[in-house]
Amino acid sequence: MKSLKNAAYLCVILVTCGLFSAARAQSFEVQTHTLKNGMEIFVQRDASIPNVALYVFYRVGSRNERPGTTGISHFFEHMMFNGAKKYGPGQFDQVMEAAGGRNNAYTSNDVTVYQDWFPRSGLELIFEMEADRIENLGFDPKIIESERGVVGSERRTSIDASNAGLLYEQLWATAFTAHPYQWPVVGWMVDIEAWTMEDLKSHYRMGYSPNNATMVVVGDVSADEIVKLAQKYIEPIKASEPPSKVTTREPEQLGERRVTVKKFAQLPLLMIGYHVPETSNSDYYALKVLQTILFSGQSSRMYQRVVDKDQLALGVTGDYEFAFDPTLFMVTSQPKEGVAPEAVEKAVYDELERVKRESAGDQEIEKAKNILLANFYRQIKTIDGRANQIGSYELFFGDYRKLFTAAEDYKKVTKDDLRRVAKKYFSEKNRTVATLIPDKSEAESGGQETEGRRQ
Amino acid sequence: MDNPTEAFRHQPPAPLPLRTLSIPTPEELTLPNGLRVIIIESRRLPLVSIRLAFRTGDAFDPPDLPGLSDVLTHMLTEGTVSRTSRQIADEVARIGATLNAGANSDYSTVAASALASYANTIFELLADVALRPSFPEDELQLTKQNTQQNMIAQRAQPSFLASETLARVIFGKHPYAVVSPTVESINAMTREQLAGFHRAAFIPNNAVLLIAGDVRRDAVMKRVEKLFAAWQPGEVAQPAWPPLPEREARSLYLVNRPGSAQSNIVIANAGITRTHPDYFPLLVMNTVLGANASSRLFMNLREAKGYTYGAYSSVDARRFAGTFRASAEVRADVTGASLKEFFMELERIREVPVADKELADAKSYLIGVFPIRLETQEGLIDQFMQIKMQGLPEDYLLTYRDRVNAVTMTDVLRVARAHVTPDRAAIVVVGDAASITDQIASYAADIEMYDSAGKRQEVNVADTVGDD
Repeated sequence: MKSLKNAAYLCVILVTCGLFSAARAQSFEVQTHTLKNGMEIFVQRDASIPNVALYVFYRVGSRNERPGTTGISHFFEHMMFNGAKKYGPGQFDQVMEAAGGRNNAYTSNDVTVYQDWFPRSGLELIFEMEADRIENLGFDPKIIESERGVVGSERRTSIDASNAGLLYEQLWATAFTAHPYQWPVVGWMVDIEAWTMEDLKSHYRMGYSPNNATMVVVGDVSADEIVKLAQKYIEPIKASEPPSKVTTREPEQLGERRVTVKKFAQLPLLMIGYHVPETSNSDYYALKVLQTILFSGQSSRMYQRVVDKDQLALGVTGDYEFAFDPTLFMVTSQPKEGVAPEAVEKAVYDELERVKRESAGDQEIEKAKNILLANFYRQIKTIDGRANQIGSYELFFGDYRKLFTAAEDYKKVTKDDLRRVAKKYFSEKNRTVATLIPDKSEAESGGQETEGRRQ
Repeated sequence: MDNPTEAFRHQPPAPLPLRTLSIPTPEELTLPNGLRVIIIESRRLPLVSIRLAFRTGDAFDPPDLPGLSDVLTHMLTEGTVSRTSRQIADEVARIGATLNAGANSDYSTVAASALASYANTIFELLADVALRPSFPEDELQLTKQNTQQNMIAQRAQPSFLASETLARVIFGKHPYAVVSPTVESINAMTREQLAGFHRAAFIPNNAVLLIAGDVRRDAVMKRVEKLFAAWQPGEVAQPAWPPLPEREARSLYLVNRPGSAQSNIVIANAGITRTHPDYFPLLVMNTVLGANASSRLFMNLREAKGYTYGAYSSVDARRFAGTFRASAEVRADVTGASLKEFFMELERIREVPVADKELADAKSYLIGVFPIRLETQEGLIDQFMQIKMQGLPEDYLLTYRDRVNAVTMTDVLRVARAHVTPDRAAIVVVGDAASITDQIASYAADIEMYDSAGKRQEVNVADTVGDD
């Protein structure tokens, strides 16, 4: 195709110089194309198996919601499987599975992502079905009500019946006072019950415009055939106004915040969140190396201290996920029975103070970089994983090529960077601490529930 | 309505031709000590994956020491004759590798993955932990403590409570009935017992070693001989276990979680082993009934009724026995209504032949998703491991799609009648007894109720608040 830009020819050898011979490495050539309606398309050919992974990323998530409609992005993810013009209710799954394919979707604070995996034989069919639901989604009031019940059930399982889910929700609701990251992706139950047909339609118009979407196709396909199919099925769909920019920035936190949840549980649970910058910030790589040194595996500093040496907890993890806006670095630990969560907290703070004080050792840094390099390959070992990574890097870093230079970018992190970011972010006044306190005196609280129970 | 559906008029695009699937041919040989070795060269990424699998697992635990295989496999990476737990963790992390061991009911595995440039290092580490564990006393104490803590935590999970009760009632005195250690068994375990079991069961003539990745066959074979040739074979234990209990009627087992907003429902009966001749017809039957999002159970309980986030059925076919089960987590107030739909679907698949299109769609699904499990090094290792561990035919992967294709409508009806038996099923419900007992009581002549610790409780139907 003339319109195809040969955007990049990147070979793994670039990021692993010296370790492997060039002849053996697989190439990761990605070709890009932009449709006239603004949708961006990324294609990578890999014919290892006769299957295809097709992802559509929409830049809409819970951060584009407002009080009263929280959870509507996630609800929409469900509605996209509930029928459009050519393929009616339930048919998306049925036709896809009958063609030997599978699909799923996920919603986060920032994005809504649709995933299709299918044999190459179903390629054109998938394009037709995706176009159908982008352009002509059905809004059947009966189906909306039934789906409300499904999403309510999902909330009950993943949040209300889950100690970790409930504590996580309270932590974010406490750490963020201004920015929309304060509400849960699944939404508050009162909002799930309350949103209207008009809310749904305006969300669809805003979030599902082709110029708000990025398509990634990896597998047994050529870029030419993908562009042709996209021109036939997707290009005629008109663009509309994408979501307005989220301009709210969370004000600087001025002191530690604490929140507790009392709930029927066997063991307490501890979560600590530190405000950290968005993914595209230059401190991202240093924080990821620090996360690896502190939390990755049984030889990590935090595991050695909290689980092995002090034997206070069953496990300790550190998470720093992709985010468009400043987010939280999360520490989670399950204290043992009889151990006060405060004792675990103290040990965690001790280790965080230590990385501010003393340089990490050369071996420790080397180890972290090896872990990050091996993880990079694990993330791209399937056509599915690669489609997800290419799209995620494009959206969160603003350039998918950052995926293939990640190992190099980690190498640039210095010992001084590690001390500097530790001091900058892991401070007392920048943290929010959430503790689940087991309440064994009464039965599991149904107090979170506002719906569905007989009175 | 905005967009009247054109579904019935619409002709979908014709499928592109199917492409052939290339399955790598593994190199296979056996060492004089009986260790079978399978090597799969795959240059797609500069990684290597290794797995050492033993035909021993939780089912082989001594009856008075449930959980022994779990503790033993966990302890493999906690110290060897030449390395401490800390040294093992450090060496694995230094090269960005993974090294894990674990057990399920039928087999135990030690698995590793690493950058191919560190293949020798990770191979040596894997051999060390698998062959020469030292079971240090202090690490054992810590493992015991943590296992007991995890046992406490899992009692908070309704899905665990459901699977525990289900295994007990379906498997009876067969070892598959046990899904978790007991406080007593964990307390009783000693390093001598672990070492003794390891010596007896972790032997080369009861194991398969699989290596896949960016490696060269001849180089790998040299390493294998160096690391494993001196390993002494032993006597392979031949299990003699009691048969599963015969179920005569449908019964209900209620695990009470007061205040629970959701009910976990599992309806189950004894099923087939992995090598049973009905395996492929049952796989197709299960796809029509409940394997995925276009199956009958999902379309009914989620799509049409909105009772649940998902409703499924599954065929758990293991080496010595198996189950068929149908399950969902539903809102408490529709627990009874959900049972009604479940039993309607279970009867229908037994009574009415599946439609041609339903059958064709189910087969097409199974054939279409099949290559995905062969995509990665771990995926290939997993498939070849199943073939060896479960005793499947050598041409299993090559003939998989033909076997699915060969299933007929008559086969589906026959296996549904043979292996889905709702009139003799065990119904396990984990939920708030006060609000659900009345809804479900009519589905079995008999209700047994338990608390979340597994203690039997009195059922009191009159006390419930049910009003529908």
